[in-house]
Amino acid sequence: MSYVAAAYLITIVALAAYVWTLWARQQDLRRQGGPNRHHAQ
Amino acid sequence: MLWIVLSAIALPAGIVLALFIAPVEAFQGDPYRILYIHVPSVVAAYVAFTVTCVASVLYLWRRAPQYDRLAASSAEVGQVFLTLVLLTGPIWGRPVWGAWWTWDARLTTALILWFIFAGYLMLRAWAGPAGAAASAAVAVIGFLDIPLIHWSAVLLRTLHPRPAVFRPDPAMPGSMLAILIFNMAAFLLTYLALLTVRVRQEAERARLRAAQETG
Repeated sequence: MSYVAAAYLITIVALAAYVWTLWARQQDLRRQGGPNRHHAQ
Repeated sequence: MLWIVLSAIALPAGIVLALFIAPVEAFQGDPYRILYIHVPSVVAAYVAFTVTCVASVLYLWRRAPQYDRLAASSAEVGQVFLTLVLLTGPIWGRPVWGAWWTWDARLTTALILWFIFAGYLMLRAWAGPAGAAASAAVAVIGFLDIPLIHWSAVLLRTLHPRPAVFRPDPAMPGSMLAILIFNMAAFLLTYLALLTVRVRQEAERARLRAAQETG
């Protein structure tokens, strides 16, 4: 694999992994009674 | 939401421009294309840590929790971009310098910044809201490393290239510079999108914590 491809792949995977952690935290907040429960009230 | 949509369009467009439209550099060849993600990551990290520093100072002054949440959120996103800087830099260095890493002033001060904000995030994770003031102090001290990083390649003899963009006469043809500026904007939009989501989550967590404490 070329150096350029490796650099771009790492960047895309790292950003995607961080977005996934944000999504997981959002799910956790909802389970604890976050936005969904708030709107339901 | 606006930042998320804009960054979802701009980031892939910037990658396509950098990989397929930008001309080949005469001396470095294709590895120079790594610059189109390395430099925008640096810019996003600098902006993120500047926001963290300003918000930390405001928190220490006013003690308003929203400043603390902004500082923490921006530091976390900034650390993601700084990690990308420290990963893509060596991948560029290997084919161009012949070495993955060298302990010169710019690389070393950048690595120090990464450790300072890794410590900041660990402090926040362990101490929680009680450690907000101490975290703010760490952020302000950590921010002082950024001018050192920037000026290290100008004032000291380092292997790292001197700034080619942030000067009155950019040392880069217009066709390359335009794509680099586009990618900087795309990375800054991505920073804003991630920051917006993270700040909203922190506000929601604070609301839940307050609700649990009151009963």
